[in-house]
Amino acid sequence: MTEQKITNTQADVVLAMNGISKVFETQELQTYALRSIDLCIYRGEYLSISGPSGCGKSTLLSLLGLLDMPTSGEYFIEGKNVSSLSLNQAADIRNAKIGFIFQSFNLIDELSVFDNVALPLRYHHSKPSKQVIAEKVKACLEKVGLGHRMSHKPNQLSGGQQQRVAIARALVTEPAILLVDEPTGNLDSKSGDQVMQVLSELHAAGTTICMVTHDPRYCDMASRQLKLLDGEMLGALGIKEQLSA
Amino acid sequence: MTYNLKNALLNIANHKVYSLSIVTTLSIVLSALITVLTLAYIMLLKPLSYPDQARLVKAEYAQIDQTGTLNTRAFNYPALIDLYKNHNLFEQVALVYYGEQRLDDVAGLPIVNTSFVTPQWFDIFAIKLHLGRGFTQTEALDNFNPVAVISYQTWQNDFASKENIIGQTLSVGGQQFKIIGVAAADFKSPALIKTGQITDVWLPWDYNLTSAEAKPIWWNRYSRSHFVAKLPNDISIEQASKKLSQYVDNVWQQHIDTEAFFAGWHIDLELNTLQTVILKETPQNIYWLILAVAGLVIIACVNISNVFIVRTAARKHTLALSAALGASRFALFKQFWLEIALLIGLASFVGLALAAFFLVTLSDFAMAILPRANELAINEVSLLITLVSGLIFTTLFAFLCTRIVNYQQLITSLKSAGKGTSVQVGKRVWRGLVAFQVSVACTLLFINFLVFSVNKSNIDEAFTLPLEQLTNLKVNLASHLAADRDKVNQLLKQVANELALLPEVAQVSRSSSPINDNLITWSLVEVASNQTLLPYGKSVDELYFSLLKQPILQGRGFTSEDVKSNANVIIINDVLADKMSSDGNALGMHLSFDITSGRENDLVVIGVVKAMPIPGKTSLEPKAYLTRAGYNSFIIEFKHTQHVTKNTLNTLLQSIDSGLSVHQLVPLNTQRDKALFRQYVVSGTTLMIIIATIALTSIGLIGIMRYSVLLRRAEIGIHLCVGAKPMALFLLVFKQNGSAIVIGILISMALLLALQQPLQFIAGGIAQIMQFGMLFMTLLFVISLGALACYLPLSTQLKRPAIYGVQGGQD
Repeated sequence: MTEQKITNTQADVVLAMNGISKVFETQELQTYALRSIDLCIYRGEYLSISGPSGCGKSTLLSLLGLLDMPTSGEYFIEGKNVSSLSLNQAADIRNAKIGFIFQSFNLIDELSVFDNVALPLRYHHSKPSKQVIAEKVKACLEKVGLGHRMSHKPNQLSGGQQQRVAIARALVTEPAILLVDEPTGNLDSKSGDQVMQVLSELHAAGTTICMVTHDPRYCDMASRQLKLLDGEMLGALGIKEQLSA
Repeated sequence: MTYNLKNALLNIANHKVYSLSIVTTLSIVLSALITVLTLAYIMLLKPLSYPDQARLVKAEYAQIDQTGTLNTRAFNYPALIDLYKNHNLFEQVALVYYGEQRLDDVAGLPIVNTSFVTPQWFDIFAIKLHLGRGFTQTEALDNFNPVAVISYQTWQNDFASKENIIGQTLSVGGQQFKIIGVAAADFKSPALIKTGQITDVWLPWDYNLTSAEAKPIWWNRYSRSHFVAKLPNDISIEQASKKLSQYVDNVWQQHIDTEAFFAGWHIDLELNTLQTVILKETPQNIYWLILAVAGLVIIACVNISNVFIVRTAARKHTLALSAALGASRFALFKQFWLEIALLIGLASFVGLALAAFFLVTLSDFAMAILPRANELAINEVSLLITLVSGLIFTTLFAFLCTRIVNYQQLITSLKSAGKGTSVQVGKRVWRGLVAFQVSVACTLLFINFLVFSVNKSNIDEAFTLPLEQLTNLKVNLASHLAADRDKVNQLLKQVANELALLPEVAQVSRSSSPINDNLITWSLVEVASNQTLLPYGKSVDELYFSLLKQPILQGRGFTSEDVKSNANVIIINDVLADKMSSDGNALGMHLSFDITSGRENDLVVIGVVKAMPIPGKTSLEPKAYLTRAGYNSFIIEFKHTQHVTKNTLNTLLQSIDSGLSVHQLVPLNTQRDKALFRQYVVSGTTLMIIIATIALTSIGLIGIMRYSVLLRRAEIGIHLCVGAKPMALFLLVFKQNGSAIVIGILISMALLLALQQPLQFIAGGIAQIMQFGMLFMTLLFVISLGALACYLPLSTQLKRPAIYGVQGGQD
């Protein structure tokens, strides 16, 4: 696989993995969390990845989000090889191209809803002005229906609302893709449904989403479903095949 | 109890790094604490080993001039004797004259310290005898009974512990004495004039070395004669001092009323307790040491608290289980207490052993600068300090560990599989710990940098003196010679000539060493203005200034003709010249000391030399130099790599006259090092405190930040997820802790401001700009340390995958 081949389809492919493996090593033991994963995610796609607990879903999402580095294999984001980046380069890509949504919301308790959402913009290379930040944050919070909660602290919100704040934060830099890890895991079914509704709306508006979940109901909402088992993608195709499929 | 003990031992054994870090830190700090507090007890609180020691005083004859300024503190001979005979106030009085004399009949002609005393000296200091008897009324004033008591060490070293020593004759400085006693081995002479001073031979007062012509003079000053007394129970020092001041002043005025020079002068009889006299300026040094060690203890306590907090947080699950099974809060406290007591017990034991080593080392090496150094050892007070500090630390840390456990949430935390906040330290506590550490570290570092700089600059300055190849020779004169000044002068002239002929010798100056030459002040009058001057006076020959490479700034030095004719010329240093004339030009001015017979012996200032820094002294003093022969001290310049032994010189001196022998032969470099000993010790101590402060603060701050970063792991993970770069994260953490560092610095500034007066006293000659520089460096260092403390734990997290922060590294 070469960068040139990926570049040829740059317009369609957001993320591409080829032969990615992740091994966790202890002194006596080597554990394969992921084994030769080949994966392409296309622009505008809503992909769900499911599998039983401990199958490597979250590890895969970490690799996709540059939160961890693979042991072997190649990884491209919008055609750029990101398999081995410096901390600063990885931070730039995470900030500009990827939005994260976690099961446990991961909001900073001490910051207001506004500041939580604004956080990625404060690290953005374009150094947006206060006014631009305020406009973007407001727009994102409006999009998830929380425009009236900007000055609240996360602990003053319900779980569902917190997750929607997390979604707003993920959207604020207009990333190429949203990486979503068990978004409803910490929520009751009603709140979970509301959050999933927001994601569906975002997808409908053109946002690329890659979601990890073990809830079959939510898998069905995705445009494409993949299954992971013991670190291997079931029925996975190589990038070439995926591209030509 | 057995279960708790077993548990505690298991915990200690299973967490070796934790146990070792606590025991090591506490051992070091406890050793410093025990050493300094034992030192403080011995120096400040422990009574002297003399009966009724609280009532023992030394009298100082303070001569105050017409302006009310203290001129000198020294008795004149007749005043001393008068007070001894007519005091009518003290319970007991004793006189002492300190000398250094030769034992004529002992091989190697050793020079010993002699004390000429009145018989009461033996009663006041309760001198126990190993053999024979002490002085009694048969040795009272004017009895002239030639007897001697020798010290136990002299008996051992110079008389081979002969049992039949009593009744034998001892020749001291050419005078025969019959030995009547040997002092007990454990008797410690009171060091009245010099720390570490001892007495080898006690002789009756009647034989003291004051010259016959000096005995009737009421305006001389004798620094070797001293007056010691025991106050009655019913009178205070102040009352006695007031009453006796009137008496001695009246007597003095009657004898000097014909001298115009002393018009308006008066005498104060100052009484100081023996403890004060013996300790000299030591208490201030001890207080500084206590302050420094207190700082170290505080820093160490903060560090150890941090370790205990982390450890307690790590055993949250076990604590929750104990609570679930019915352990009360007090039961948890007991569990903590026992484990901490075991660790601190071990640290106390090691600390005590280290303190014993430090005290013995101090006792051996610091005799010359530390009063009562021979008493330094672990004693019952040291054990009490160890026990009490151990108990306080144990209870304090156990209380802290129990306090940070949220007992109400312990069981809940068990239900939620270890998640939650059952063991948590508030942000305020963390900031407090950081601020506390920073303030103590800043204060300690600045003060110690200051003390270190002052001492180092003194040492550096002393090393610029051109002392290489110079040696000081002091010649001992037998008593029969000392009385005949003309003969002595001739003999010493011959000694100088013959020394100069030795092939190893380049030059010889008949002058005393500039180091430790115990100069006294001269009362001089500037003739034209009648201005009274009190410079230190010294007699030198024509070679002195060139030998010491002391530059002549104005005029000329002495010539051999000046020396030969005892010319009425004087050379002064620039410090004195500045006092005499606003532009420092004192050439040609006339000075006079003749207070009895007009101005015919006026001295003309023929030269001004640059003041020479004296090792061990912090300021440049006004000095005047006369050319007068007759002194028994020489400065010899040896040729390169050449030297002459004491035996060779003794042979040479004995060949000139049997009454001459080598008293002292010491290179000026050695004298310099000895004079700088206090500076060396202080520099070493401050350097150790600086290193300990830096080490403990670094460990403490890094420890606190490490835990702070650990607690904020999730937050840092979130920042990483949204694209924060390492530098941005560092700034974030530094900013979060910055307020605590700033508060710490402000507290330190306030403390230093409060201590400004004593600090300015310490700083002495250090320029203000240098002091600001040091303060700036201290602050820069502490801020850099704070930054490093923020960076190190953060870098550990950055080395791990970013997901570690948000998911705890789990799938």
